[in-house]
Amino acid sequence: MNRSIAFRISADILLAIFTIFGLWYFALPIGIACLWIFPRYAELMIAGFAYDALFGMGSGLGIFSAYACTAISLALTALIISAKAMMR
Amino acid sequence: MIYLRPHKGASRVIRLSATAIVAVLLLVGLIQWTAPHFFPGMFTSIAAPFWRARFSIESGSLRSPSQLLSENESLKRDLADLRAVFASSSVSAVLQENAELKAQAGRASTTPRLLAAVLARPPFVPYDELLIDVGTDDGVSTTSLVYAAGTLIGRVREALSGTAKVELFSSPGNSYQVLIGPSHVPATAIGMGGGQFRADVPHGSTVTAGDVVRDSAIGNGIFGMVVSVATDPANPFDRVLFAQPVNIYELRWVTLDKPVVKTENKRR
Repeated sequence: MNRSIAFRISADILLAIFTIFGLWYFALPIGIACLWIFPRYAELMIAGFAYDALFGMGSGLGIFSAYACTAISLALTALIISAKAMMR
Repeated sequence: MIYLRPHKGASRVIRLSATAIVAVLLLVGLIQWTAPHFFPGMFTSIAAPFWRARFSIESGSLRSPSQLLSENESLKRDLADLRAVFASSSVSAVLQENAELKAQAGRASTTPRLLAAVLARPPFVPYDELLIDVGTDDGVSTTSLVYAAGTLIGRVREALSGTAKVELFSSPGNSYQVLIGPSHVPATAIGMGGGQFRADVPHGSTVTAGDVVRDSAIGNGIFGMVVSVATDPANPFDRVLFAQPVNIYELRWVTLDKPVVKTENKRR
């Protein structure tokens, strides 16, 4: 198996585990690093949405709290993709 | 002069990618609007086995049988000692009188309780909430109240089929009507997170550290214990800080009011 694919799968597994257990402070640096290294890295956005689905969405929370991680992951993805396009 | 023609392929890829992203976002938004429990249910069903595995590990499933037996015996001895102390003290007599008085006033609690395991809790869960392993399949609804060690700690905010999210009363910004101390000083408790509350009482109220805080309903028991009272002569109100007697960060089991299933009497 290609080494980069194996590394990406390993990183995705770690990202999923940290997201499931609510350890966003571990998941976020991994997601940002992978977003920089790999092309077309959508897993961070999926992880942000999953985090909100597990712990956020529901009645009683304002819309900003319910979708905060989704918005942050979308913003980070757009920011890093733009930075990569400018620098490369 | 040679001019380099712009590469049209890259812009087409960018347009397609942007279109695909917008389409996905619209689809997700539509699903969230029409079926708001679809994605939470889907991701919860993926995550629940991992939470249950962690709960099992924390419960000691990886420990040796001899360790578990030893701990079991120790807990049985502690329980027997506590029962002896409880039976011989005046606490049981006071509790019995309290139950009799409530029964006379028609407020005896006969609501059975449903036991639930806490799969995830603060600080690993944001928004000061708990995730428990019972849901709508067990009769849980968004009106269910949640207790820990006899203390009312929250209510169900969202119930899926096999799990539920519990919003703690101590969530920042939540407010709750309470009665503080032996004089039952009424106050509004404001949640500060992690089982901590603050309330303002009129200056000169006989509230001191160690006083019991009760909720305004007669049947729900202790809500917290006063930790400190901050007095400022220039302020017409004293700031009372109190906490619930259970440690939210170490909760492993909670109980919920079991819903009563109404049966229709059919005439034959």
